[in-house]
Amino acid sequence: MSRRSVSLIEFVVLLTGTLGLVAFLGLPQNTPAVNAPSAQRLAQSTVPAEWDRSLVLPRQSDRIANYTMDVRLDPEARMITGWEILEWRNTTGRGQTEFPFHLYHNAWKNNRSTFAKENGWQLGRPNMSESDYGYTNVKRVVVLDPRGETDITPSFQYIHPDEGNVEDQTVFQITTPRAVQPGETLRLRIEFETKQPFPIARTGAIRDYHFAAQWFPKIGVWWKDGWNCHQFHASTEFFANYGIYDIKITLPTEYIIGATGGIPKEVTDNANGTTTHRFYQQDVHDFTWVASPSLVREVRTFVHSDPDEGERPDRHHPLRPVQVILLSQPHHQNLVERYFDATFKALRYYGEWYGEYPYETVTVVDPANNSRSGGMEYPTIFTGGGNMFAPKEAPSPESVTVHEFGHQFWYGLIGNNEFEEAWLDEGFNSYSQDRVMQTAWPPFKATRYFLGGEGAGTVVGIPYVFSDIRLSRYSFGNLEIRRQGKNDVMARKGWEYYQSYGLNSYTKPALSLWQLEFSVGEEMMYRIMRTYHHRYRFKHPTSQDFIAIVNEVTGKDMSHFFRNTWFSSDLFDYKVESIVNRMIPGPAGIFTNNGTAVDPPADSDPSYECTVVIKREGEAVAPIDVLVVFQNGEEKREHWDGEYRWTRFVYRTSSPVQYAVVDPDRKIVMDVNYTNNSKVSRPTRFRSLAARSLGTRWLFWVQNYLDVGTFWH
Amino acid sequence: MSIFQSFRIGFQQVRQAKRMILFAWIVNVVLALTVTVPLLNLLDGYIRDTVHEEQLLEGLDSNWFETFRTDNSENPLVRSFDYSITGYAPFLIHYEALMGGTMIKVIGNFFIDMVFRLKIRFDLLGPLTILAFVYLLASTFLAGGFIGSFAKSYRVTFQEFLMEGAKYFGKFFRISLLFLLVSLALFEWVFDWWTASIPEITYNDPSEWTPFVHYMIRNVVILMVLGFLIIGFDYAKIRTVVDDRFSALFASWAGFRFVLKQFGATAGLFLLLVFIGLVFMVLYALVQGTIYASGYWSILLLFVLQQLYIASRLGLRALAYASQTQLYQSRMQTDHRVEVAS
Repeated sequence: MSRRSVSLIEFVVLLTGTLGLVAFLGLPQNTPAVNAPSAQRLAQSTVPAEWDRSLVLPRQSDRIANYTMDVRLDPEARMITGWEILEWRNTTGRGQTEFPFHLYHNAWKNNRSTFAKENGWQLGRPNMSESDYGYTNVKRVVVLDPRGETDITPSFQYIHPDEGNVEDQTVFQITTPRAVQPGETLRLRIEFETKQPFPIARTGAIRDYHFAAQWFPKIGVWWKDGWNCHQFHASTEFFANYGIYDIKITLPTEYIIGATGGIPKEVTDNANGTTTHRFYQQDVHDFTWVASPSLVREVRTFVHSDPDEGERPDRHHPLRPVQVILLSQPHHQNLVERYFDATFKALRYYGEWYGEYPYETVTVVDPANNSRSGGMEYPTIFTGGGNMFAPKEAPSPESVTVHEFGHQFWYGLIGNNEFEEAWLDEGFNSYSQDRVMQTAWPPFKATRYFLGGEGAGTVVGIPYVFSDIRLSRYSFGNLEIRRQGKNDVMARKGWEYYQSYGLNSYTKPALSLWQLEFSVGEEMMYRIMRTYHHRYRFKHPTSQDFIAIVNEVTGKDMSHFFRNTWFSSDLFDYKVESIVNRMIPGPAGIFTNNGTAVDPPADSDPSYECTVVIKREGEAVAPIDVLVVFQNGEEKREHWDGEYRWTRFVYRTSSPVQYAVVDPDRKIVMDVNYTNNSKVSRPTRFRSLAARSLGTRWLFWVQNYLDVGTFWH
Repeated sequence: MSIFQSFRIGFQQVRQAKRMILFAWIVNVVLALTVTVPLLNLLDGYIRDTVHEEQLLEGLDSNWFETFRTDNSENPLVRSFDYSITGYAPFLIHYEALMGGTMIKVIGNFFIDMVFRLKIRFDLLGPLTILAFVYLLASTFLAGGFIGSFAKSYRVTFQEFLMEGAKYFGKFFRISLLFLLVSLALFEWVFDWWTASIPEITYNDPSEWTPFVHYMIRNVVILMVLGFLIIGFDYAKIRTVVDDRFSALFASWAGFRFVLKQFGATAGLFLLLVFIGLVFMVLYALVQGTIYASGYWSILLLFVLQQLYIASRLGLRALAYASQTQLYQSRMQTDHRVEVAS
């Protein structure tokens, strides 16, 4: 190789590199920056609206289904055996002889249940041994009557009200020999045994951790003039009447127990290595418990102290003290403060916004790894979930704690039918959770665990906080709608969605409530939610009940809003199609009037005809604001009903339009693409600095990738 | 000659090879630009006419980020364009890929399919993979240039550097292929099996601490094994140059024999270089955190810092070649003197 050719190669490489870098970074530009509105922080105020004094919280539920139980846990066999006495009050208005019951645990009895069938004919774990399955056996059913006991076990039969799968055993029916008349109370003694499965669907046992949920025969609900007792589906949750639960649980003395009702009313040492705990809770619709010798129990008292209280007594109801019981894992002691902090904040804000939490206790369970019981709600008890390596910037365990606590309100106190309208609890609660998270904490950051992987039922590794990324709760909600929103109308039964249960139960309803709030205003939204909560506490409302409340409180017919959101699979997508600034030329041509010459129009200041075109790309319709800003700083805020496919705004001004933003306050949070919501008129030579900022990072990423990735050269 | 003497002489040689390191850096940056410029243009077109231009400079918005990725999901570059471009996450994600043998498996399986199954798997070849392969070839060439130059007792010209690169390219490439095959076998048969077994082994463990410790032990072991391979194959290249060997297999055998024979010195020198590399990384991580890239000059500052880091890494690699060559030559001379004396 000659010296000359080497120099040429060197020159070419250096020139290419230099030109490449200049092309990449460019030169500084002197283009005026656009002072565009930034995305708003969602919760704007923590001060709720003034209380409507006519709103009164009901003191108690109708207590239709009341249970007394005495059961024993055999941890080795993972077996719960005992009996329950059900007292069911007939409020149906007619005599009843047939009574359906849920046997949820039979969903995990074999791979022919409806739950398994909807889960691809399996129960979520390959190669299950016989001991991994779970079930509930009803051994005997007796009607307790002052006139005597009647064994009605022979009338026991499985029924399949939803989809005719005769192999499903999650609902059974018994028949009484005599009709229970309106106002009468049916008393049944049911002997049963429940085998806990290997953890599945937030129940079961692993190691010495026993989580007992949906574990006893539970009567269906007479609702809308018929029995509502759905089979257990793979993606649905539950529905039950309110009542009083008086439950005795016997288990080895060394076990720490937590349950609905919180603090046991009685604890009896049986002097045989077992202890019996009696829990009592009124006005709930389920009973769940957890037991393990490894749990660490700590109790603190929530006392309402609101810094605004003295100044704004009209806006706050005092909240009662609540005993918060935390049952945590021994290796999660670094999360204890975070669990308590999140629960206290949730107690405060849900209480201030919607109404007082009425129970004396709430139990927070930090679930055992691999128990699959994390992130689930039951009356006065819920499970959180956290990672011992979670950095403080990560949203968990706070977000899951707030969410599951929030279900005490949306699910617990408002007992909607989760089978049929899951969004009324999951969606309402996701919206409320967002509000609490945004009110009580600075924004959380995206985090990821590097150089690790799965283990102990979670993901471990070296935690890394993406501190450059702003994260909001609904970060990807609108993208989820974009991907799956067309699959289903939101208002459908839980098991009838096409792969969109999560979207339609959580994300879409939550975003729709944000959109409603931005549409009617924050103050009005407080009134709506509070009125709904007060009116339907301890009841079983439907979507129509909520819509009626919205119409009533706002004084408007808001049905168009719900038509476009809850009852439609249409997507919202508004965009700024174009901005055209056309300079109007000076007068030229013939200016006559019936052949008589007239003066041409006066030459005004440099004058522009500016046209801003807004398009509706999606099928969903919402009234929308448009912000138009001119180069001289003048602003115009337009309003469009959003109905037709497009509209345009034309201005004749001395200054051209600098930029336009459709929905500048981001009220249409369900808009599936907000990156097309603006248009800025920039010089052709303009090059994006933001792109270069990202490009610089990407360049380094690639350079490092090349350096590390090809280490073996 | 001690480790530190080798290091010191190697450092002096690298100081005299600034032009070569600049060349290596330009190769790195020019190749990286081939996938950066298209993405930059895509970003420019996506952002420039919107108000996000100003908003993104205030801070990266996750919703914007994900919408951009969704809108351009067909673009193979965009699939890798995620949060890991920020902060010092590139280190973590790339070392994670290294631990998983991602690149080795892609390129290795591509060659195995091509040679043994006569099948060209285009699905394995994304633009980043092709780029990595090109960079591998370029780095192989540069390694020949560096070792060939450092093995000489005089200061070489840039022309000689290129000539040395060309001279040893074929031999070094064969050594690289051997390295690739050995690593591929280790990942496919040992490390992957190990990684997959951790969730199973720790499935029933009550604490996250246990799998964490497992993964960290795995990481350390993989790093040690890869470190050993890197040293061994580095000395294979050095022996190819110094001893003028032809066979990649024999050169590798000789390289590893030397490493085992002089394990304290070779491993000590390698660890010293790894330590310096870690210092560079920590310094970069600390300094970049103080730069808020929201204006032209701060972006430029970040860019300069990034390029300084990359140039330092490439310089460190050159330093590794130089000091290892010095160490090898001095130890061989000592051995030779001992043999003559005896």
